[in-house]
Amino acid sequence: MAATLRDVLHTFETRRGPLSLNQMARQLDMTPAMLESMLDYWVRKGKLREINDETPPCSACGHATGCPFVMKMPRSYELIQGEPLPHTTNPPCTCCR
Amino acid sequence: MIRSSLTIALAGNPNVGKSTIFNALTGAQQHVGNWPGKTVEKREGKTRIQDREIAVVDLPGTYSLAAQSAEEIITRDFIMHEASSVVVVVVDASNLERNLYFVTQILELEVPAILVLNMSDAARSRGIQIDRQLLSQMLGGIPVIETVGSRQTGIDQLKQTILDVIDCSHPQQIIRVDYGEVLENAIAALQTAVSAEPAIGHTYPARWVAIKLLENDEDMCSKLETANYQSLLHATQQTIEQLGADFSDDIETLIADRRYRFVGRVVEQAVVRANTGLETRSDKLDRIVAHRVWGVLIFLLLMWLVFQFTANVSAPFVDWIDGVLSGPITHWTAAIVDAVGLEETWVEALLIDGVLAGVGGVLVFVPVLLFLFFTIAILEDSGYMARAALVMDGVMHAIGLPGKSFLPMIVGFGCTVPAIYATRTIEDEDDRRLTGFLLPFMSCGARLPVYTVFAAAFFGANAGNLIFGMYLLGIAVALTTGFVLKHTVYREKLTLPLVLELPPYRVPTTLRNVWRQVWNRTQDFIHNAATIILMSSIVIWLLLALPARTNRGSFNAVQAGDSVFGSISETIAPALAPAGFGSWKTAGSLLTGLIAKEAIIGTMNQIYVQDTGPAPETEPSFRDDVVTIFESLGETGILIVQETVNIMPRTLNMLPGVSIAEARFVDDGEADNTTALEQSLTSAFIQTAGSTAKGKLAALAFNVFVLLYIPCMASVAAMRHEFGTRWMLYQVVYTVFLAWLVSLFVYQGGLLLGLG
Repeated sequence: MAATLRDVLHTFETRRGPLSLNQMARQLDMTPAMLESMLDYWVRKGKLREINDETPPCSACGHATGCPFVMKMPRSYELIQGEPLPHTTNPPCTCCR
Repeated sequence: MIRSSLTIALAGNPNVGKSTIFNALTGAQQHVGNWPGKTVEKREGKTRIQDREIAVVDLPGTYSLAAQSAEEIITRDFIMHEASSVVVVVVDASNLERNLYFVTQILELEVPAILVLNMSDAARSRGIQIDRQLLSQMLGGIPVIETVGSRQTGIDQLKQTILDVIDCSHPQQIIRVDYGEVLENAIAALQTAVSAEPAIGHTYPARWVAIKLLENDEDMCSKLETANYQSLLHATQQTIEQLGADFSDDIETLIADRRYRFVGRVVEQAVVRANTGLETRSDKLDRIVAHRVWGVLIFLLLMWLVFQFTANVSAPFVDWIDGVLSGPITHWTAAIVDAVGLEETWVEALLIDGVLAGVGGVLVFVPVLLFLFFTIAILEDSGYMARAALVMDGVMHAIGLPGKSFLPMIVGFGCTVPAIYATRTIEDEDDRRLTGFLLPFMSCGARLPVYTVFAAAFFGANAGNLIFGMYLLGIAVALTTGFVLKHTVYREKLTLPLVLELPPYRVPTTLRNVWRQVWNRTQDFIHNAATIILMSSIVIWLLLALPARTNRGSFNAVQAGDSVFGSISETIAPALAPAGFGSWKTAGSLLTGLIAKEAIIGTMNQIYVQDTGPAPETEPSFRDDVVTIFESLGETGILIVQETVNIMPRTLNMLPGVSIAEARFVDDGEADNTTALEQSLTSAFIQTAGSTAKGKLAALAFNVFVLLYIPCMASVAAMRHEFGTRWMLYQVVYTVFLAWLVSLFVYQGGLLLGLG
């Protein structure tokens, strides 16, 4: 395995435009699973942010299972600039239709 | 607390099926609580293997033992201090590389362990073969067991192996990850220093402590500080400084890199994949579908097909519901009102001209939403929407917009309110505000009935193209607004690239899932019709029934134009005249559209469709109505099939030189399938504008206005809640002004080009 953790981070720092995890793995000549493992490292170190499908619930419309319009979007990673910000956790939703 | 002399701990990454193994081992004998002083859940249970009772503890899922989170500290401390007899490390066999990093850290703790390759069936189905013997050998002789926790496969073998390890009949060596000569020398030096301190050297493996100290592990350093091991800490500091001079990187990353290199070597030798290359079939397809240029074209083509399908295939169903509501349901309502002696009273007018016209007029469009949400659900389930997100992210990134904006923007195609809340996933406050500002331009589902009715009334065979055009215009206005803001107000901000995980393509096989999504989304529309639209229909009927001046009529006996609603609408109508739709009726409809976009159609049904033509000579009987409903339903079914079949020839016919005959399963002659509202709108717009062509232009301009002005009051409230009153006001003023300006441009520009 040629690519190092620094190579992974460097790809984020120099990349312009989005990239799929598989494309990045191919670029770095490693399997996507190995890349994910290395991304986990940088997430733990606070250099990358993992974005899951974290759309806050908006249950004011009365849907028991949450907003039906919220689509499940792909898991993604982005570079954190400066100090990582505290994670936003489901503030109360006051929207009412 | 479950007590036993023997304890096994289950450890592993999150989502590897650890809990299923725990359940398979313990059955019903479980206790759930919290770890002392933490909010992390602790699950304990008991298992009996042969005649021995063994306590089982399910440790929190974690990716590392670096002591950076509560889960990591709990896992590490439990393994080190709670004297567990065996650590069962559960890994996802289909994702071994991601899991082995954690495994190496467990093995460095020098505790007896078992490696469980869970989900081994999933790994095999993906063509992944793991050489268990070689894997065990490369990991210091650790027993390797294959399981499928959900089916309890391999659990008996796991139980037997647990006993073997407890009885030491399965010798394990200590694995040593090779950290390279320089680091190994440093580790060896610190290891000697650690061993010299009996209190710590006997509690923890000395090599592991040395590695942790080099990693600058906060928990370990604070333990040494508390125990006053100043000389050891000093030696550590000196070593780190020396290594810092030798390497340009931080030591923790160098150590982690070596572990990854070790994992890479293990996987390379012990794992065989059916697909030896790194590129799967999905990857090959993504070369085109997720391409930054081709991907955009494919996205546009798919969107075009979605709206062709939605507009054309739902049309017969819309006509059927409209026929049922304006025919049998209206007859029956009138008959019931007559039967209770309220004939020709305001109650009849309220029920038929208010509730039925308003709510019914909106419910007619349920099939349009059903078909739209069906196609979107298919795209979501197939894995395409993730590609669309990647492609759209690329487009936004290219013009300098924040990459993550695509998430709320895609939600905005369904409903603007959750889309505004979805901006919370964007950490940067400026990017979040900017994205929130653009969301009203993403055409939500509630606007679709407006486009559909105008498309059918004015654009006939091009109905799908008009709807597609509206959605595209919304995206274009959002991107242009974003581009301008990004290069003026937010020009200091850099946009960051995203790396997205694309799921493999799959054929949506579970129709139940698709239907659940479709129904949940359509339900929202029906719910709105039964609440907001019902209320607004009653209020509008009341305002239409009240004369603006006493000399212009009395309650429920006033011309619509002379009513309170007509007078209010009349005051703003002149402002809309330059855009071609300056009648009080269009102005009034747009006013109610501020409440919710569906209300536009409800209001139009109330004020445009006043007189549905001469009454039939003989009222149809109840039986006649029922027969008509079912006969027309059968024909509607055939027409839906016909329109579905015709999607392909209609698409290909757009290519130059191609002319494929369309299927015709029902010979409906020259039947007029337009609804009463469509007919009324056509004549009213043509009358206001002065000619058919001008009426068409005015209709187009009206749709543009509907697309661009405030989505609804709920979205305004959400905007205020998320971004404050000032930004909410900016957005209201901007969207209304832009809607007016662009619709004016469309109408006057069309006239200048000789289109009207």
